[in-house]
Amino acid sequence: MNGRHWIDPGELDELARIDSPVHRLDPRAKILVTALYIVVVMSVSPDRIAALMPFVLFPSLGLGIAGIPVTPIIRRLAIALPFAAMIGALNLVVDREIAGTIVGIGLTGGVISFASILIRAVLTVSAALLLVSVTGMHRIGAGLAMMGVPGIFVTQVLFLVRYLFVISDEAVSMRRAVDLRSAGNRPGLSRGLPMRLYGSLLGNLLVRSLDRAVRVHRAMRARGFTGAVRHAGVLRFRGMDWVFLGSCSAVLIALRWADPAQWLGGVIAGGR
Amino acid sequence: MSHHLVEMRDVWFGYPDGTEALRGVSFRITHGESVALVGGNGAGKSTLLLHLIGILRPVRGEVRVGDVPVIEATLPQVRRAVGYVFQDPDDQLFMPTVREDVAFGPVNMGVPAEDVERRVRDALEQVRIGHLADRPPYRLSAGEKRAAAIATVLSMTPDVLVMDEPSANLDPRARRRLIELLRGFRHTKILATHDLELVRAACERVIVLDRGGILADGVTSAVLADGAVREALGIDG
Amino acid sequence: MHMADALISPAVGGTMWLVSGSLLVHSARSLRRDTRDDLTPLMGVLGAFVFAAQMINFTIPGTGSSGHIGGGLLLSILLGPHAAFLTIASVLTVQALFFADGGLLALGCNIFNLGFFPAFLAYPFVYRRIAGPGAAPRARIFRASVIAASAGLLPGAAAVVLQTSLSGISELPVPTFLALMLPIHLAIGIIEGLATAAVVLFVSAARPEMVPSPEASFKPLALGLLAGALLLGGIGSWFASAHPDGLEWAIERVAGELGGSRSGWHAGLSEIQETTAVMPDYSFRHGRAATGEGDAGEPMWPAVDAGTSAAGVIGGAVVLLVAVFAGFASRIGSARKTA
Repeated sequence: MNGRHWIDPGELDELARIDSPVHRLDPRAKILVTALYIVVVMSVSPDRIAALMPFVLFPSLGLGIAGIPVTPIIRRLAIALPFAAMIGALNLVVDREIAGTIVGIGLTGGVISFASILIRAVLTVSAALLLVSVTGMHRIGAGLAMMGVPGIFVTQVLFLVRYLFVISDEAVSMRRAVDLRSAGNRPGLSRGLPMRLYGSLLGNLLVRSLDRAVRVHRAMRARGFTGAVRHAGVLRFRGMDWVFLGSCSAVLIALRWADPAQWLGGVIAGGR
Repeated sequence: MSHHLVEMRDVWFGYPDGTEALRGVSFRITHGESVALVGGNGAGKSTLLLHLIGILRPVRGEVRVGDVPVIEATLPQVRRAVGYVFQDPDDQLFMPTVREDVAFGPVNMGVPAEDVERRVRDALEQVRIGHLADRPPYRLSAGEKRAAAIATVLSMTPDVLVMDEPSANLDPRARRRLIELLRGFRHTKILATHDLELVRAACERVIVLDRGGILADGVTSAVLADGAVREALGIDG
Repeated sequence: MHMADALISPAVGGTMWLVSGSLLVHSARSLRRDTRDDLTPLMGVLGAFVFAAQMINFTIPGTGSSGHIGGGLLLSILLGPHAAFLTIASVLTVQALFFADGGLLALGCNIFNLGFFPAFLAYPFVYRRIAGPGAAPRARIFRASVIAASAGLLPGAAAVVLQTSLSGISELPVPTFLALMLPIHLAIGIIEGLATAAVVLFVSAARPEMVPSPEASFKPLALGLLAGALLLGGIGSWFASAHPDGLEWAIERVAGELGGSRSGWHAGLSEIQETTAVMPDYSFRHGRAATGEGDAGEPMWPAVDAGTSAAGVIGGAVVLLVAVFAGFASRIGSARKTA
């Protein structure tokens, strides 16, 4: 089984049910600010590191005010980062010109860009995780639908999430059943199955899934479904949401444009 | 005439692969009756029930709900009058939260928003899961899911409640609560089930289905005491 | 093949978001005219299926490693191009949001790379052509599947290379990158094709009514639209990332025509544009076209401060500490009640 399995997909949605000032904001405001944050962080040149530091403020404050525990975030970061690290590591290999020095030690351009890639990965992934933890999939869906994302796509994401656990559970127990019947010939869930066995296991899972789709469809028709799911619920932008949106956007753009770290360091160092 | 009549007249049904599932089934159920539909696996119980809301259509014969035959044109009103609780609650709870699932039926019926809210609240209270309204379905226990599934149908204020294996997967406590609930409903009830204890506790009439045909139809105590029925159901081993 | 945010510049990411977004809207509109009324539960369940299926590995014969199915081609076979594209997009979206698998900025790229090619090219023009209408013999299904899967994955891999190099963050030279990606994805395509065929054959035997026979033709207009999207994506990305001065120049012109001087908010605005328009790349290092604005926005190498000077380090460290501390402080201060 792949690493994803030991993350509980429902965990973030659980956190979304906490009550805090951040949680109460309109999902659209939060989506927009997160999007802006990611764009701004990613627009920082890959050879700047100190310039990224101020942006730590957002996930940090966000998590804090919202009361989100750090552990679930870190666990998911731990899974997402190695991938970025791997690709960034290629830079380490490729770019070996000395580009700067720190306390007298030369750093290659590769090292700097590698660090920058990692830091930006941490920041952007945290932002996404934070968004889900303070909003929840279903309110994100409502927000997106109100911002013009096609309703059929929003419905699709919600349905997928709904049946994700059901079908994953079926997949896990089928996979375990195969293992138990292999009399120790296969060393466990992480190894792969030979293609024939794989084909029939997946085929079975697919058939069960298709059968379920038929049953769900019947249940939907039995309650009057005629082809499109209507999402009730109205989101209204309140004063607080505008304040949040406006101030965060302004701060993000200011931080990007200025470079407080450099300035602050100059002030501190220059004072000596 | 009222919608409280459910009737099948000489219904025959077969699947595309040739299996005959219903052979000349006829019965009449009147307002307020609590009827159990029993039979072994493959006897045709689910197939029969699906005819009552027009998901399946007979090859021969007629199904009537209230004054109307169950045909394409009458499906909306039939499905409003007959609330169907499916065997697997996961098939029936497909929305992100319980509240939205319970609202699904009324919204599709075109009920205005404030009324939808009221119906949702009432339905949840009837099955005593008001506190679970904002839960996602995957965080419910089997008993809670069953209750939620029933609520999704109650919110449509049906006249007839049809349930396919309502007590499956329920622990003894949840089962007892279900029985209590059912005894409290004044709807006409049709329950397909293997659970004879449930039958005795909640249904005064039993229809026995055997290989697509009706073997017996009558008062619970009499039917369940009958030798041929006990043989067909495998009661005495 | 999932791209992480770390490798994509906002210009490339944003452009691909526009392309994928347009394709999504287009597919959604097409589906509204679809006569199948069971699409909602079917797509939802199949999306969940692909997700779950990716957790199960098969061994790759010959090597010691294992892999899992991507699912793009399988979904296309079961659902048709538009519904499959939407479903693939939904799987990627959930992966990005829930599992931090692939970033949100890169989501537009991923949806395009992993969705467009299998659903709109490989399935209609390769799989259907080879498999033909009606029930096909096993061998033909395997052949169609393997070729179609590769036909879907290879352009996707090339697109990844293109998007990464246009973003300028990774310094891997394009030829090397291609030489790495393409052969690997050819192999992956073959395996994916085999797995897909195995599953399709299994399901065709068990539930033949659920595997639609490829019927309706794919309208040339739609193809044109899609080719246009492709072209736009390519050109747009290239333009945005390689010609920041072009963007700047355009803004200057507009500001000039509006009669604004270089003072006041016009100056502020254009300075912001300059700063963000100088896209992160190593143009100055490798001697490509450089921007002329040395006095505003990013300073030129070797004057560029990588943040490793004393000032940078001290300032950076201080800011980091402040940021983290603020986080803890706010946690103590805020009320927390679980709903």
